[in-house]
Amino acid sequence: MARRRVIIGVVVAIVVIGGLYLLFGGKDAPISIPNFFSSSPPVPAFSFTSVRSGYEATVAGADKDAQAATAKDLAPKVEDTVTTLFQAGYVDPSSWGDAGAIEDLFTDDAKGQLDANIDVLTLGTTAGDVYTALQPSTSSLKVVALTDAKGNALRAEALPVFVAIATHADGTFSEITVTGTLFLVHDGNEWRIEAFSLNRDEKPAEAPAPSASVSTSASESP
Amino acid sequence: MTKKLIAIVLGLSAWITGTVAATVGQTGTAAAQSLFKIERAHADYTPSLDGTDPIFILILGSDSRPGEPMNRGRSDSIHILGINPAKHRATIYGIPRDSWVPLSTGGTNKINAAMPAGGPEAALATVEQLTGITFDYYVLSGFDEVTHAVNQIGGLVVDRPYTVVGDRQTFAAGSSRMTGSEVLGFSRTRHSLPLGDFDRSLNQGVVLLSALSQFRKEYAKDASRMYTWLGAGLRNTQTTVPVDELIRLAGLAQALPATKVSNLVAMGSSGMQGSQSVVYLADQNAALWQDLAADGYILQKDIPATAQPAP
Repeated sequence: MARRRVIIGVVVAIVVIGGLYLLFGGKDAPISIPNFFSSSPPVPAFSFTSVRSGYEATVAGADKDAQAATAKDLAPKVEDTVTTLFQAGYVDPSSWGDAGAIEDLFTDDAKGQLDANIDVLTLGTTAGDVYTALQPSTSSLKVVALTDAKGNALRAEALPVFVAIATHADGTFSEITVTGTLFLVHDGNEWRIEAFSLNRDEKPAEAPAPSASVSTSASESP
Repeated sequence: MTKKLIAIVLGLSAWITGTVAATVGQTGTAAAQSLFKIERAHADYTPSLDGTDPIFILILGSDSRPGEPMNRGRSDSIHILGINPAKHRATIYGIPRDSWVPLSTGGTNKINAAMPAGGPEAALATVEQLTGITFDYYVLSGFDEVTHAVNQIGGLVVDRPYTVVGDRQTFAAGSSRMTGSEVLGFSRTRHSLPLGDFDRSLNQGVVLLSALSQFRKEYAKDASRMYTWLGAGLRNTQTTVPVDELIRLAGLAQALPATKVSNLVAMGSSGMQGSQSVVYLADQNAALWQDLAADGYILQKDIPATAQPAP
């Protein structure tokens, strides 16, 4: 008798869970229930394939070696900010279109501009309706330091070329490329974006090769 | 036993149906939206000067020769740049170098004598005393510095309103990209101009407007050009404008086409002080300076014909 009750209890639980899924299923559901039929891939870790550094001196006759050294030191710090922007904004589906996920990367003034530009700073607010995943491809970054007489970085300019293959929910693919300029300033302990001018292009693409993944970075100076 | 099996099958069916329905539902929505394609999108933001208070910058050109300190030469080029950030308007107001005025360092002399006497600060104080305008900043450059700055941005496209016959070169009317030395030659030419130093000052304003137009175009095409311009500008000037403010000025420039910037030169007449050829500034200037001081700009329609560029 007791065994029978246990079995009935299990069956009822299964029915209830199944019903709940019917009612609240989907990626926006408040309750997260495992979907054994969905094949959501793990979120890739994005990094730039190559990072170059340069400088723009604001004083004539400044020590070139000191300026170049400053630029080289600065590049990884700026790279961190820009990598986080593309990781959260493009690569991680859970934060597509989410200004809150990237706002810490921006200065207070620039934060006020995120909503108006969110469909380029991230994959977009409706990206979840169109895409299921994004696989970063070979991407590069150039960091330019605006330097003073002592070789200190006054500002930084980041020129990313972010390339990724987007998987559409209908099974097709497209290549997404984001290029342009991000202007950064040292704000608190971080290099934050104070201005930006980014272009996003998209064109049809073939399915990515199974081995296509980006997980390493390299740095070089001009 | 049969009932148990039925219950288990029903339960699993509900789960499977729920999962499949959710998956199919997503695909259906996406398929319907797959026609939605962003081919090109753009995001843009640059902090800009704002507020209702006008900004005034004194732009000085030194006649110092190579090896001489730029800030102790005579200020042979003097322009007031007034900017109204809220109204997206500005004015360039030239003052002839030979203007006979009281100097902040004492006495009366040609206005360009203030800088050798007390540096750019004295030149600024002299212009403040003359016009009633309080300046926020100054920018000082020289012959070589202008040449280098123009070359470092890759030349400057200048739309010349009329043909200017310079000492070494003739600059035909029309638009062309000029090298640094050509821009300097064009800016320095005085003898062949109908109104001499007055027209030269106006032409220097034309060069400044050309720089604004070109910066706007280049920034719109490739924002990274901002640092190229900032670097070229700062390497070849002495200025009190901080980098923060320069970046906000660059942002404001995006909303400030050259057509919203009036270009004029102080009115006056030539005369002699002893053996010196000088310019006596007209009383008419006072009302214009008052207008400029109030809001940072003078509308083109309010500028007397004698103070405007030749057609």
